[in-house]
Order: sequence, then C-alpha cells, then structure tokens
Amino acid sequence: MKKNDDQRMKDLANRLVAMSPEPPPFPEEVIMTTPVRKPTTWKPLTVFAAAAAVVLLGFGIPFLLMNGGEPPVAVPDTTTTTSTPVETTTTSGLSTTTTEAILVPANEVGVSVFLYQSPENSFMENPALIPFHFPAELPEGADDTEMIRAALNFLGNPDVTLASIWENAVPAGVEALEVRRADGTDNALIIEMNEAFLDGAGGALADFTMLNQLIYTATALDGIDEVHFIVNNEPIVAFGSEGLGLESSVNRETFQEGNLALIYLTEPVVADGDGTIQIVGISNTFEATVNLIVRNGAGEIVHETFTNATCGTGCWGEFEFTVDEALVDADSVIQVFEYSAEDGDPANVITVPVTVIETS
Amino acid sequence: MGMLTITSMNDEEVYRSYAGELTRYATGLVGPFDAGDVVTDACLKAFTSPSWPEVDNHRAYLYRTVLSVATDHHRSTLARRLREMKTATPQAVHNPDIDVDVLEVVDRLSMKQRAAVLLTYWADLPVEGVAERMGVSTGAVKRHLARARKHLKEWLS
Repeated sequence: MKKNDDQRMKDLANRLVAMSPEPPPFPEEVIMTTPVRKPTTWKPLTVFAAAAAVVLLGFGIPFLLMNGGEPPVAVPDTTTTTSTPVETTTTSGLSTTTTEAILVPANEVGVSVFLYQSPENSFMENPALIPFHFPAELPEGADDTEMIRAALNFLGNPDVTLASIWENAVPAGVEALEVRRADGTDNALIIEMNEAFLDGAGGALADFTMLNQLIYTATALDGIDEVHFIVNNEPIVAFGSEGLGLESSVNRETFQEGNLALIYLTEPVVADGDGTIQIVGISNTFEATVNLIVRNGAGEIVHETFTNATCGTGCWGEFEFTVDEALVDADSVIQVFEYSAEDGDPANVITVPVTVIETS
Repeated sequence: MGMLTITSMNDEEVYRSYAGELTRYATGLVGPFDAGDVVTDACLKAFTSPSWPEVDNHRAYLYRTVLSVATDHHRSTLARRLREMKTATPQAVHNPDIDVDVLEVVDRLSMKQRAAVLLTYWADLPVEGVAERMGVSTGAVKRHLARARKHLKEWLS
C-alpha cells in the first residue's frame, strides 16, 4: 500500500471522527431487568464437542490430503493443519461433493492459494478458481514476498495430493525461486521461476489455468496487482504448449476471459470468530444474479440466498455475500452458482470449503 | 425481575475515562446522529453484563461492545439518515459540522470494515490492538482492511 493511500485513509478517519458530538452523560440510574447469571455447566454435548475437537486436532488428516494412511504432506514453510473428510449429498440437483474440513491455528500468517474445480464437476465450460486459506510459518523478519513464494511453491510441491473435486494445474516441480518487488513500484512483483515452469501444464486450457492459479495466488496479498514472470533472469518468450509470450507483466484480468468459469471466488472463505463470513468473488452471470447455498456436514442446506454482482450478462462484476458465522463450521461447504436462463437448472456451480480459524 | 441501579463509582470513572473516545469511535461507525445512543446502549450493556466484574481490559471490552451495538443498530441507519438529509430542505439540514461527503464514502463499508479503518488510522493501533478491540483475529483485521481499501479505491485515487 502506498504512503499516499495511508494518508488518505487517515484523513478519512479523522474527518469522520471530527463530526463527533459531545459524549452523552453517564447513565446515573437505569431501570432494567436484573441480568441472570447462568451457572457454568458441562453439558454432555459440550463435552462431546470438546472431545471431538481434541480427537480432530490430534489425529486429523493434514490440509488438502485425503490419501488415507499416508504420511502428512511435506509442505514447505507451513504449519501443521488438520482436516477431516466430509461427504455431502445431493439434495437439490447440485453436484455431490466430497470436501474436507480445514482447521488452522489462530493468528497464523495467512495467504491464499488458488486451486481449481474442473468443468466436469460443475456443469461449467471453464475451470473455476477455488481459493484456500494457506497458513504460512515463515522465518522471523520474513516479508510479504516470502509469503507469496511459499504460497506459490505450495502449488508446485510434488508431495501435495489433492482431495476430491479440487485440482491443481501447476505441475509438480514448478518452483518460484525468487519473488521481489519490481523496481520503483509497490504493486508489481517480479517472480523468477525455474525452467520447469516453461513447459506449462500440457495443453492450452491447462496452461491458462496454471497461469491463472499462479497469478491469483501471487496477487492475493493486499496491494499487489500485477506480476512479471521471468526464467533465468530473462523475459519469457514462449510458455507452454502454445508458446505463449509472457514478456510483459500480467494481472488477474489478463487470462480471465474465455479461460475461467463464469463464477469464481477471489478470497478464501474463512470463519475466524468475528461473527460473519464473507464470500467474495467475480461473476458474469445472467442479469448479474448469483446464488449461494450453505450446506452442513450432512449435506443439508442450512442457508440459501442470492445477490446481484456489480455487472452481468456479458460483463464481469464483483459480488459479496455476508453469512452469519453461526451457520457454518469446519464441515460446511459453500456452493455458489446461477440458475440457467435456459432451463432454470443450477449452472456454473462451484463448491468452496470453509476454513475455520481456531479462536481458543 | 428486579431493579438495578448503576451507582458504582468505578463504572462511572471508567465511563468518564472513555466516553469521549468511545463517542468518537461510534461516530465513525454509525455517524454523528446516533453515536450518543450507541455509546449509552453499549455502556449499559457492558456495565450490566455478568462478566463485567471479571473484565481486565475495560477499554477493549467497551470498544467491542460499541462495535456490537453499532452492528445491531439498524444496518441502513446511516444510509437512511443521508437520504433524509438529501430530501429535506437545505435550511433544515444545514449543519457545518456534518461532513456529508465523508459519510457517503464510509457508508460503502460494512461495520467491521469501518471499525478496522478507524482503529488503524484514527486510533493508530497496530493490527494486534485492532484485533483485540474488535474481538477478531489479526487475519480478519487484515481482510477487513483490504476490503475497505478496495471499496474506497475511488476515494484513494
């Protein structure tokens, strides 16, 4: 973030506060119902929940792994996280999904990692990006470029096995060797990739999906808008199966059109105890309408709503849902979709996990 | 049912210590029109809470309660007030102390985004301090700030 922006934000806050009236007088006397203090009791359900949490924390399967019995994935620069598989069932014609709960420790440094959901699983023509909260444990004094490098290298980690419906177009072995800010800018990064990057993902659409995953992951931090990939300290003149030129900086819009689904999320869905969760994304849907369903661990719909994106029917718009955090837990999934203008069936359905940050 | 009279000097001292800054904070959250009511409601809620006697950090607790009461406050109150001001006669609403432009800008933000902006840029707190006064994680604070900046892009440009 630029210093100018900081100054503008400060100005805004100060001008707001400058309108403050005099404080109200101390409420000397008030007549009200005496609050009743409820005795603290250990209800069986609480005990069960606590025990379940302990079991989950102690024996849970690591983040993004469902390779039963295999050792935890060796994810560089990450803390141990826990998860458990959850089956959801079809109850309204929307896709059946297998997801997993994601629990991460409170106050971890978090970055976003973008995987994708393939069209076959969601009636979509193009893959949808699915953001995950990625807890990173970094050396003391590490800056945000190191967080981004850790996130990028999560994608190319050969030991990562993905679960269920989410996929990764970044081939194992692709690595970000260095991430640094472009000279004289706050919002642009130069990312030195290894040579494995140049091979792409093995097909035109897969190449674009791989690039979109890396671009979205690299620009997930506040204030980073564009990236410039280089290899061997040289601009890239031929990338992937099509020999795509990547000599210039790219951003989230560069390979969006025609390569990504018409609905996808731009931030992970994170429940961190602040009362609400936000589901934020981009869409290009009929009349800009975007629908949302929250399912519990049993696959039952516990909440259903819709909103309008800022643009639709031929243009991309942003949308945001705010959902009461009490409606979700680590077993919940969020489904975002539109109803087809042709037949009224759910279309462009994406299924997104909820990451619960433990607030002990 | 019973009657409760708040006469504790301790509470009054606490109130007098923080009422000014809480009112300014509430002004940033709900605008100047309802800030006083929010502070009064929040303090009553805090002082009569069963957990109040055990609270160590009264200041942070009161900030959290102000945010909670402000959130419960009718969500569109500020927007409604601004609409009323626009439709009323200019003479009736002219108040040099009200910065309508700034209120309209802030109305684009959710309550939590407003809180994160105020505590960061007005109260000048580090992210950990903001998290404590909002009762959320530091990650949540960063996300609220990032979203606020996004919504305020026009203002920042």
